[in-house]
Amino acid sequence: MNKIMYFLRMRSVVLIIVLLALIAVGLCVKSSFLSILITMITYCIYALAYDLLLGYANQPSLGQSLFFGLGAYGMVLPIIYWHFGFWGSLGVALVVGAAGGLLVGFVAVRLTEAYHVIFTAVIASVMLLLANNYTPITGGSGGLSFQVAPFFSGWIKLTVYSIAANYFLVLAFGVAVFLLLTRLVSSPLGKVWVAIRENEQRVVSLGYNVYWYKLAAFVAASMLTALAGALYVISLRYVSADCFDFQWSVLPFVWVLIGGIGTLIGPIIGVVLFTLFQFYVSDWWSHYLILFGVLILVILRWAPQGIMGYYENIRTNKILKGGGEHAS
Amino acid sequence: MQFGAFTALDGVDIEVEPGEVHSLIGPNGAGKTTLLNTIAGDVKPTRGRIVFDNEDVTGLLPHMCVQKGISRTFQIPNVMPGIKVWESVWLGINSKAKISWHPFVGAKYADAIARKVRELCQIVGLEESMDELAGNLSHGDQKILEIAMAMSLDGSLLLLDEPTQGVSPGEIDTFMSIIKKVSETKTVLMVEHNMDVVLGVSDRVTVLDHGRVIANSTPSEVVNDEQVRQVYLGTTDV
Ligand SMILES: Nc1ncnc2c1ncn2[C@@H]1O[C@H](COP(=O)(O)OP(=O)(O)OP(=O)(O)O)[C@@H](O)[C@H]1O
Ligand SMILES: [Mg+2]
Repeated sequence: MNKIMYFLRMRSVVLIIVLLALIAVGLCVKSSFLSILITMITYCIYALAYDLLLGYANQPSLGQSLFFGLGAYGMVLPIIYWHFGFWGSLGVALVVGAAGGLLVGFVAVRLTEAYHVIFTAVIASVMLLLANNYTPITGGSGGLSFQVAPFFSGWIKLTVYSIAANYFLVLAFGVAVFLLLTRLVSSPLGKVWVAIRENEQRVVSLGYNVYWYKLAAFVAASMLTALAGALYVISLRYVSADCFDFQWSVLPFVWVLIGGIGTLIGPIIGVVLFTLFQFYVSDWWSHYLILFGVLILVILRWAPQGIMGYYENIRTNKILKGGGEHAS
Repeated sequence: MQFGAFTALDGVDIEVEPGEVHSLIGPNGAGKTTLLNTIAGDVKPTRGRIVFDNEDVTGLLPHMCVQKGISRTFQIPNVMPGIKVWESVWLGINSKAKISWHPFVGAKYADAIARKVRELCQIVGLEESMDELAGNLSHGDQKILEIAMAMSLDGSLLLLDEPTQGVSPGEIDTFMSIIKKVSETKTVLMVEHNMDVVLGVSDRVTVLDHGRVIANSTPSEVVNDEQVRQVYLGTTDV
C-alpha cells in the first residue's frame, strides 16, 4: 500500500516537473519548436479523447475524423460567416462535436466491435465526401483561411498570432483535459466504463443500463475530439476538407496503441514519439511513415499493451515481489 | 421456454415464498440454469409469465430485473477480471445508489460507500483479498465474489446458480454459512448439486427433469420420492 502511494506521489511529481518545463519552454524557446509543441499538445487532447473511448469504454471507433472535422469547421464557419469571437465559435465547435457524437453514437454504441468499426468508418468517409464536394461552404481540399479575433482582451490583448500566446492557450486546454480525464476515470462513471470494458454482460447483471454509459463515453470523446480539431485549425489559421481525412481516424488509434491503451499517460507518450518522428525523421527521409510502421511493430512485439502497459507490468511485478518479501 | 425447436422448459410452474430458501435440483441439462435465466431476464420466455412481488416481470431486461430486486450469480464464475474485488462489490452498491452517473463524487459519500463495501466483504470473508484483481482469485473465491456481487445489489430475491460447483470439499461449510446468512434477509432460489448443501439449507426443493417439474416438496420428502430417486438421486450415493 505504501509503495502504491509512493508511486502515485512520484507520478504527480513527474507531471508537475513536465508542466513547469513546458511553461519554461513557452517563455524562452524560439518559435519553430513551439509550433511542434502546439501540434503535440493538440494531438494529445485527441489521443486522450480516443483513449477514453477505446481504452476505458471499449469502443473501437474508426471514424473519429468525423468529429475532428466537425470541430474544425464548427470553429471556423461561425468565424467566417457570422464573425463570431474566439470563445463563441469554440462553443459552437464543442456543441457540434457533441451533437454529432450523439447522433452517430445513438447507433454505434449498440453495435458489437466489428460493426462498430465499420459503421463509424463509413459515416466518416461519407462526411469526407460531402466536405470535398460542398466547396462553397467547406473550401474543399483547397481550404479556407480566416482571421481569428483575440481570445483574451483585458489588460493585455492575446491572439493566436503570437506563437507564445497560442502555445499557452493550447497548453492550458491540454492540462485541463488531462486533469478532467484523470478525475473522470476514477469517478463512479469511469469505474462503470472500465467494468463495461472488462465484462459488459456482467455489468448488465449488476443493474446498469450499459447503453447510456457507452453513449456518454462516445459523446464525451466526440466533444474532446472536436476540441482538438478546433485548436488544430485555430493554430494553423487554415481549414480544409482534409480535416475529415481517414488518416485522422487512424492516427488516434496508432497513438493510443503504441503508448498503451487504458492509461492516460500512454497516449501522450504515443503522441510525443509520433510527432518527433513526423518532424525530425521526415526531414531526412520523406517516407518516414514506413520507419514508424516498423517502430510500431517492434513496440507491439515486445510490449503488446503499449509502452505504458509494459511499464505498468514491470511495476506491478516489482510491487508484488516486494510485498511477497515483506510477508515472508 | 424454447430454443428453436428444442424445449428447455416445459410448463414449469414454480412458486417461491418470500423468505424461504428454495433449491432447484435435477440432472445436467434439465433446464435449471435456463429457469434462472428467464427469471433474471437474461432470456425471454417463449410463453408463460413471471410474477415477482405481485408484478409481472416477464421479458424485462436484466438490468431492470435488478432494479426490481432480482439479482443473480452465474454458474461459471463471471467476474470482471481486471477489476479489484472491492470495486466489483462497489459497482453493485453503486448501481442501487443511483449515483453511478456522477462524474465527480464528494469524499463523504465515498466514505459511506466504502464502509458498506468493507462490511459486505467481511460478511462473505473476502476482506483479505479486497485489493486483489477479481481475475486473480481462486475458483472458490470467485464463486464467493459472485455471491457478494449479487448481495451488493440489495435485492429481495437472490438467484444462485450452483454456488458450490467446483469448490473443494473443505470450503463447502463456508458456502453453507454464507447462504444461511444471506437467507436471513433475502429469499433465495438456488440451483445446487451438492445434496449436503441442499439438505442443510433448504426449506423447499423442486426437482426439474427434461424441462418439467417432477417434484416439489420439503427436502426430506424429495429424498424419499421414488421418481426423483430414479431420475436423479439414483446416480449419486445419498
Ligand atoms: N441459449 C441457448 N440456446 C440453445 N440451447 C440452450 C441455450 N441455453 C440452454 N440451452 C439448452 O437447454 C438445456 C438446458 O440447459 P441448462 O443450462 O438450463 O441446464 P442445467 O439444468 O443448468 O444443466 P447443468 O446442470 O449442466 O448446469 C440444455 O440442453 C442446453 O443445451
Ligand atoms: Mg446450469
